[in-house]
Amino acid sequence: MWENVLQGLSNFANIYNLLAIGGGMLMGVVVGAIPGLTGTMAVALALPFTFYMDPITGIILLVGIYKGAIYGGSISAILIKTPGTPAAACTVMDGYPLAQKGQARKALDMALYASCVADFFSNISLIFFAGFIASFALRFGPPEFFLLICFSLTIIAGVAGKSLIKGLISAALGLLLATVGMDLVYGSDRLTFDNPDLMGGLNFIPVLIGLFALPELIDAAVRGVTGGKSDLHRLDGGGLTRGEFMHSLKSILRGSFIGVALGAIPGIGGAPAAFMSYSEAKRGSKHPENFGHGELEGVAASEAGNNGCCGATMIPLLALGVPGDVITAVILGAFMVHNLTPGPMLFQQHLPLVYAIFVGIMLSSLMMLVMGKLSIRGFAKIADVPKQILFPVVLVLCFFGSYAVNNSMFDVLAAVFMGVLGYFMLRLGIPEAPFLIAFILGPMFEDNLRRSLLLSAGSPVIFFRSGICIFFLGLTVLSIFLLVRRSVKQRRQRSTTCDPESVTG
Amino acid sequence: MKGKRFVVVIFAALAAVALLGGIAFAEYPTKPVTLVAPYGPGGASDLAARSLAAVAPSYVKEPVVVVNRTGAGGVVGSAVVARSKPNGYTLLLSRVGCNGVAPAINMKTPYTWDGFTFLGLLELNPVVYVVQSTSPFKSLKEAVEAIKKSPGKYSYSTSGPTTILNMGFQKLLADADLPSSAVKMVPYKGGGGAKTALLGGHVDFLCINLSTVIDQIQAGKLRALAVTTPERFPMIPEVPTVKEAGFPDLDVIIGWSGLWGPPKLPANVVNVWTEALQQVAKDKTWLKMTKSLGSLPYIKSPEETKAFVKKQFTVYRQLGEKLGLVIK
Repeated sequence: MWENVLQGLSNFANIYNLLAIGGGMLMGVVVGAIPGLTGTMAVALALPFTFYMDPITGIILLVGIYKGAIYGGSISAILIKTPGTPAAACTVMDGYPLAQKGQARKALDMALYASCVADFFSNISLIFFAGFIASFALRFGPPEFFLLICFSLTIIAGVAGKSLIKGLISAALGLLLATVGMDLVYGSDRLTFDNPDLMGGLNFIPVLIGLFALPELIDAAVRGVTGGKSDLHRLDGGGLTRGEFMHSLKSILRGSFIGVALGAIPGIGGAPAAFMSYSEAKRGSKHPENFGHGELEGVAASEAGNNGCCGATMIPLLALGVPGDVITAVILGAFMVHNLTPGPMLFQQHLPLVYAIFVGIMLSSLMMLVMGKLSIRGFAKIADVPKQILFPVVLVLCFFGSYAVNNSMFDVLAAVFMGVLGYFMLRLGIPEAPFLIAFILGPMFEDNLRRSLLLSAGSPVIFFRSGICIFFLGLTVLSIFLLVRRSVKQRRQRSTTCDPESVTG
Repeated sequence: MKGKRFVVVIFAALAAVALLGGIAFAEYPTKPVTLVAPYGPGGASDLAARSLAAVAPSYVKEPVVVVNRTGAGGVVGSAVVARSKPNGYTLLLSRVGCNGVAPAINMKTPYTWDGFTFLGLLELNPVVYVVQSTSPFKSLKEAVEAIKKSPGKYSYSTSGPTTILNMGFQKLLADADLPSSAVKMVPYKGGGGAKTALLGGHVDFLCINLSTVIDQIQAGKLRALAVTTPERFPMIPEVPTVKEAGFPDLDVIIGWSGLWGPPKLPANVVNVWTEALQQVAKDKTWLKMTKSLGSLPYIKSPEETKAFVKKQFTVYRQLGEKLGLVIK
């Protein structure tokens, strides 16, 4: 064991590997921070270069880009209300209000620290519990998956805002648009209008850009931009204090755990983890009403959730050879090109190599802190750019980003369509978050329901087949019960407090 | 008289332009070539595209840029190339799924199997029939017997109805004279999900690209019942071929990648690529990359390629019609 660790250390210890992890991280943060340039794209672009590198250097470079991009997504989410990566969509909800209050620096710091802590935990669990977690994750078949998603869907109510009806309208719209594309079981078309561009369904990034960034810009255009400098984003609020960090530590740790758990199950990814961590933080908070209006803890929870996934998505990849998301699929490709196949044999045949990669991964948490600090300094200058210049630039980035995902003009049109829809939602006070959650989880919900029923030939008994099923079934019921109780309580409080007010007011 | 001379001059000028144009065209390529990979990064097709793009510039003298145009199981990317200008600057990394199975099964596919210019076949990806190592089935025959005895009891995972993963298993059932409903099909959104379902014991069978599962086979987690190559595959020498396993017709179930262009590609472009591919076939880097991905290098001329794809198309069309899978 120890000789393998030492061998791994000595394999790792060269300047190229350090450069790879640092350079990859910086590249990832920058790419992640630019809306539409996703980590997937950066990793895919870097992949051919790794063909000519030592396998350790190549893989560490890709891992650095991956982690950097997931963190980097929070920067633009906070500063310009456009999540750089889908996983950062949840960070927008409190990050942008904080920026509007002039506390962008605090929010950026919190996002960085939360990301680093979660990343560290994620790496630890990858290194020490990979085999155990992977075999546990394998027990998630279609019915277990379905009930997990059911539980996750109850968080929609948690982020629905003031009106549950408006939240449900938003979620229904998200579900509707998520059904576009080819049917999974029969291969027939749904809502595609015989347009081949729609056959693959709506792309995630244009929907995201359209939903978050464009409505803000349309709103600015309609109302007219006033003032020279954007007084909204001034950074005089100062950095994060130790007390503020400690206050959110519980949420960060909880988020890291949620991130690890969801990241280890192939096919879920960072966005649902961030939302779940966020809603749990809200539920656990003494001031849940502050969430969505600029609560530091919300940024912390969301970023801990999505970065907690990063190390954990490597668990199914390394232990089983199953990529949990698109980026790890590309990293799998990098392994294959070097004639290495991730999976149980990798640990038997190439243990020093695995340890060398682990050393690099551990180092990446530290590197994230360094590169994050550097780039916050750079990106924070965005806040000094006058709106008249900033907004058009953001608009160009939005269109470019939509196009670049798949090199398709159709995606730009989709972003514009979503932008108009998002603008009306903004004006009518319909929250975006339920739309997004439904759009992400809807297909998982449907696919796993149908898979389960295919397996059981239509019998619902399959949803009680295992301990995991019962566990999530119980959580779902509990979650709904708590929601109902809370809203009843609130209504009662309102009715008792409102009456005298209405007399005096 | 003057007018006539004017007309002559105009014609001469036009002829010169046409000629120059012709010469300019003969110098292909003069700028980077875009290679559309119709599936997402990291998959077999993407890696095939990137391996080709890594070595082809030495032989065509211009960079080859891989662009992923994903969606609808490769149909979106293929459709983009089918509609693009036939100037040789937009080519397609074709795949069995979107260029063989889809046009055979789904009539709504916006192109036909031969609605392209064939430049060459690149590689074959052997397909294996696998079960968990704890499964009681030691051979394909045993599995088929068990299915016959209790239809509807067992299940298999796929990456969707019109994919080689599904057609491969359906062909096995058809060759064993079993109805397509004898085993439950559980579709996933990719080969990775289908593989996880088998590893977790949520389904009983899987028919999939060898490269996806070779590690688990070697580690003894999964048992391969048969491989669809004509001869035993060197990386898994103990696994019988489909012929040895008693189902000789299953050898048509095999993955492939090729290089296609839009229809009516000029002859000089075709020549440039045919010659370049002959060089690629001998390129050590390309051979090494392709083999390390678990594929068989299989570079063929445009004519051989067309014959090969036609045969593939016919197999899937007949199978689709027999099973009632054709989407009108």
